[in-house]
Amino acid sequence: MAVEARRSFADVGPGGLAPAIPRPAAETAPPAAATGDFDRVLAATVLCLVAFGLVMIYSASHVQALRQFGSSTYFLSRQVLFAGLGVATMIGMSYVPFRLYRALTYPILAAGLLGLIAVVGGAGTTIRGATRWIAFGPVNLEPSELAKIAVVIWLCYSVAKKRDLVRSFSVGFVPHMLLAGLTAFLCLLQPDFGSAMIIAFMTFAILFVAGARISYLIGSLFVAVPVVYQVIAGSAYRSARILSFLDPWKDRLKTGYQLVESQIGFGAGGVLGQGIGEGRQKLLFLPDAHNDFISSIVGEELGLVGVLLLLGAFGLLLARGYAIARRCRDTFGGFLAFGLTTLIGLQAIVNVGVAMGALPTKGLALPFVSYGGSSLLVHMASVGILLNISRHAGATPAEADDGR
Amino acid sequence: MAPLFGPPGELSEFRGRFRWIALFVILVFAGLLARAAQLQIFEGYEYVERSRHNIERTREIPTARGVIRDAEGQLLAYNTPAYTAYITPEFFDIAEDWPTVVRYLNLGPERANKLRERLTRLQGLKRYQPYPVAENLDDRQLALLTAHHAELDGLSVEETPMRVYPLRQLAAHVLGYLNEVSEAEIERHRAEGYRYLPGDRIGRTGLEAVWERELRGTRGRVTVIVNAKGVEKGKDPFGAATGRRYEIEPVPGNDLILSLNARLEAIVDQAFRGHPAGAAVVLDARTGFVLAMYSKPSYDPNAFIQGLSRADAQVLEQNPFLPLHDKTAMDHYFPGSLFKPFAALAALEQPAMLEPGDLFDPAARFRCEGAYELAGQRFRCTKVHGLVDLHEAIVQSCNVYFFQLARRMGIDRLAQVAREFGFGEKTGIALSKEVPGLVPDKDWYRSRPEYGFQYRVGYALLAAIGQGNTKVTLLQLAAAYAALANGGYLYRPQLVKEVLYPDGRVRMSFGPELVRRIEMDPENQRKLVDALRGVVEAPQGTAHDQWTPGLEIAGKTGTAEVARRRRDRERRRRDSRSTEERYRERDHAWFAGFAPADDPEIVVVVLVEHGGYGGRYAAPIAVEIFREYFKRIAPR
Repeated sequence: MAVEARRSFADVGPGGLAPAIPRPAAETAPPAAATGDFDRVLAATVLCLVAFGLVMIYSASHVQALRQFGSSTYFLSRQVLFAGLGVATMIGMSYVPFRLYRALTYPILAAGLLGLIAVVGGAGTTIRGATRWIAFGPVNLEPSELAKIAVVIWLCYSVAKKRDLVRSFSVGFVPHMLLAGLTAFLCLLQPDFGSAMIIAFMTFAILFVAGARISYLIGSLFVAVPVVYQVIAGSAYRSARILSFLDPWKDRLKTGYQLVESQIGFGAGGVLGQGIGEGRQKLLFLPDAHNDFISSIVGEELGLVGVLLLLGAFGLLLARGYAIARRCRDTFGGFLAFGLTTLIGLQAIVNVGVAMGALPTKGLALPFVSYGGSSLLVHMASVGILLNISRHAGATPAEADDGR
Repeated sequence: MAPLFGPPGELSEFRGRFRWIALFVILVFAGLLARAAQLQIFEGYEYVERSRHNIERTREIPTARGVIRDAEGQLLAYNTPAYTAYITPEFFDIAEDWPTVVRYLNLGPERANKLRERLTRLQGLKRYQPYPVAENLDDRQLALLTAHHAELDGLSVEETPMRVYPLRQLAAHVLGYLNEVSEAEIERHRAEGYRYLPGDRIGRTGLEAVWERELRGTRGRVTVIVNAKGVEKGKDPFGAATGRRYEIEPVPGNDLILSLNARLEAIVDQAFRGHPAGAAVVLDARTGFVLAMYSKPSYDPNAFIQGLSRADAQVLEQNPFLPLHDKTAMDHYFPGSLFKPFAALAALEQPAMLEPGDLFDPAARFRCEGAYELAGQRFRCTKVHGLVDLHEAIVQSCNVYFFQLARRMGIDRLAQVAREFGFGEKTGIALSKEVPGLVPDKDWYRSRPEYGFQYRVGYALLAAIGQGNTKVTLLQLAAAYAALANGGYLYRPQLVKEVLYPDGRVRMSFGPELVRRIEMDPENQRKLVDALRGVVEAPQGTAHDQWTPGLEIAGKTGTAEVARRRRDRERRRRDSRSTEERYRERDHAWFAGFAPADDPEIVVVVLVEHGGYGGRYAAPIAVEIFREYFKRIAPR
C-alpha cells in the first residue's frame, strides 16, 4: 500500500505523445482480484467523523430535543441507531464487489428517479415548506439523497462504457445532460435547489474528467446559466435566499436569519471555541442546528481549531478517495471512486461554506456529521463502495509490476 | 499505469483534467479556511458581542431627574410620566412594519422619512440599541402600540419621565431647559464615565445645565434573558440561563432647593405689566441669596423639551426683545445714575484725592447750570439744579456735581471703587453665560485703538454718571447695592440653598458666600443711605412720586442713554421714523434700591428697556415689588 500511495501520474511518463490506441474495454480486462486490503485510513476517518457527529449532534440538539420531545437525547439516540446501521452498511457494502453496480446501475437509477417522482407526485411529507421526504414507518426517507448517488453511479457507468465516445456530442454529451437535467429538475420541484445544484456540478465534474469536450461543457453553461437564473429569480424564496446571502444582516429576522445566526456562532467561537456544550446559538437561535448547521456549532464550540480538524478530516477523505480512484485498474471503478469521493467532498464544502456565509443557503447535510438517517446511510454506503474499490485496487504484486 | 484514465494516449489530457479537479478542491478548501479565519480570528470579538446580545438583552432603565423647588417648597421643575416608543433596528422589519408604525404614531411624511433613514443608517452594535421614534405618546398612540405590540417585532414602549416647568415663562432663564443629548456629548460623557443614551435629555441652559451632574441621576441597566425575537422570556427550562439581573441600579437624581421665591417671581411679573422688555433682580440684602430673577420677555421651557420646531425657534431668535437672553446676567448695560452712589463713595472715602477746596466737604455746594464745559465740550445735566451738595446731588441726580467729583478724582479712583463693589467681574452666580461687564480706567482707554490709545479727562466724567464705557449687569448692581445697604459685605449672588438626596437627606447646604468685605466709614455709609432715602422721600427726589407711607425705601433712579451720542439722536429724531424705531432709541429706565432703609432686608434692581425716564417708569415697578414683598411674602 505504501508503495502504491506514492505512485503519481508523473511516474507514468510522457504518454501524451503516444498514439491514442484504446485499450480493450474494461469488461474484457482481467478482473483484479479482491484480495487487497481495504483503505484503513479512509475507514478510520469516516468512523471518526461519525463519532464526532454524534457528540456534536447531542451538543447541538439536546436543548431543542428537551423542548420538543421531552428528552434531551431524542435526536442523539436516533442518530446512534442510524450510525450503527450506517457502520453495518459500510462494512457490508465493502464486501459487495463494485462491479455489481454496473449491472445494478439502471435499477438503482430507476429507484432514485421513482423516489423523486413519488415525492413530487404527492407521496411526500412536507417539512418546513419543502416536500423532500417519504414517510416510511417511523423513518422519513429522503429520495434525493439516493437520487444523487444513483445519478453519479449511472454517469460513471456510462462514461466508462462509452470511453472515447464521451467526446462526441450526441452519444457522449447529450444523454448525460438530459438525464442529469431531468433528475435535477425533479429535485427542483420539491423544492430542493441544493441537490439539483449538486447533481449539475457532479455531471460537469464527471464529464470533465472523462474527457468531454471543453467546448460542449462551456457551451452548456451558456444554456444552464440563464435557466438557473430563471429558476432563482422565478421563486421568491430562492431569490430571497440568494439576496440574503449577499447581505444577510439586511433582513436578519426573516430570510437572513439562519445565515446570520450561523455566522454569529462561528465568530463567537474564536480560535479555541467556547467548549463543547457551551455554545449559545443552539439555544433555539439556530433552529435544527444539529441538521444543516452542525458545522456552525462546531465553529462555535470548538473554534477555528475544530473547523480545521473537520476540514482536515474531509480533506483526508478526499485525498484517500482520489488515490483509490487513481489506482483503480477498472475504468468503471475508477470513475465511481472519483464520483463518490467528489460527491461527499462537494456536499461537505457546500455545507461548511453555507454555515460560514461563504455560499448561499442550500439545505445540504454535512456528510457523516449532520443528523439524518437517509444522508448518513447513503454516505456510509458510498464509503462502503469506496472501500470495496480500494480492495480491488490494492497492491497485488501483479499490479505493482504493471505499474512500474 | 493508472488504469482509470485509459490508455496512455489519452493520459496526458485526463491527467491534466484530474489535476484541475484536485487544484479546484484545494482552492475551495483554502477559501473555506480563509473564511473561517476571517470569522473566527479577525471578526471574532464582534460576533461574540452579537452572540451575547442574542440571549441576553440589556434593557435600560431611565432614571428620575431631580426636581427643583423654590424656597417655599413649590415645584419649579419636576417629571411627569410619559411614554416613548423605541425601535431596535436589528429586530425591526423596516420594509414591512414601518408603514404600520408611521400610521399608529401618526408621523408626518417628513419626520417619517427622516426617522426611517436614520434607523436604516445605524450600524453595528447600535442596531441593538433601542432608538426613540416618538415621545410623549398620547392615549390613542399608546393604546394602538400596546394592542399591536406583539405583531411588531423590535418595537417597544417604555415609560420615560418628561420634564415639566409649571411656572412656564416665569423664571425660565434661571431654571433653563433640557433638550436631547447629541452624539458628540454622549461620546464626551462616556469618556468621563457617564452614560447618556440617544433620546436622553441633558440640561442645556440655566440651573438645569449648571447642576446637570446633581440632577441627572444614573441610568439603570438590567440584563434580561430574551428569546430569539427579543421578547423577554418568562420561564425558561434551562435554569441558570434565565432571570433578571441588575447590572446598574438606577439612582434618581438629587433635588435642588432654591432661594428663589415663585410667588415673588409672579409679583415681579405682575409689576412689569405693560412693559414689553426689561429685567429685575431681588436679592436678600443680608446674604446675597436670589429671591427673584426676572427677564422679560421670556419663553416657555416646556416647548424645548420636545425639541422646538424650526419655525418656533426662529420666532424666538428673531424677536427683537431677545426672549432667550437672561437680561439679569447675560447682558450688560450702562448703569447711568445708578452708578452715582459709588462715585460719591469714592470721593467720601478718600478725600485726600480731591484738590483742596469746597468739594472735600459733602456739605459743600456746587452750582449746576445745566451743563459742564470741559476742553470745549459740553457735558449736559438733566436740568439746572442750582447750588447742590452731595446729598442733593444724589437726591436730584445732578450730573454736574459728579462731573466735578470725577474731574478731581480721576477715572482710576472711580474704577477702583467700582471693582471693590464687584463691577467688571462676573459675580460667580452659578449660571451659564454670565458676562463681566466693564469698568474702564486709564490703561483701558490707552489700550483701545478706537480711542486712539489715549485717555481724556472727559471719560472720567462720563464714568462718574455711569455712561461712557461703564457696563454692568443687573446682578452686579443688586450685589453692589446690597453691599452698600449692609455696610460693605459684598455677597456672591446664589440661587441654590440646598441639594437633597432623593430620600430627602441633605447632600449640600449653602450659606452666604462673602466675596469681600468693603471697608467704609459707617458715617459715609449713613450719609449715602440718607441720600438714597431722599431720592424717594424728599420732595425734590427723582422717585418722590413713588413715595409710599410705611415703606422705607432707599434707592436711586437712573436713565441710561442708549444712542451713543445725543447729537445723533437729535438729528435722527427729526427724520420720520417708525414707532418701533422711536421706541428702540428711548433710554433705559433704571431703579435700584433696598428696604427697609435702616435695616435692609431686600435689594431690588429694575431695568425697563427703552422705558424712558427711570423715576417715572422703573421706580413704580420697584416700589410695587417692595410693597407686595412686605405685604405678601414677608409681612412685618
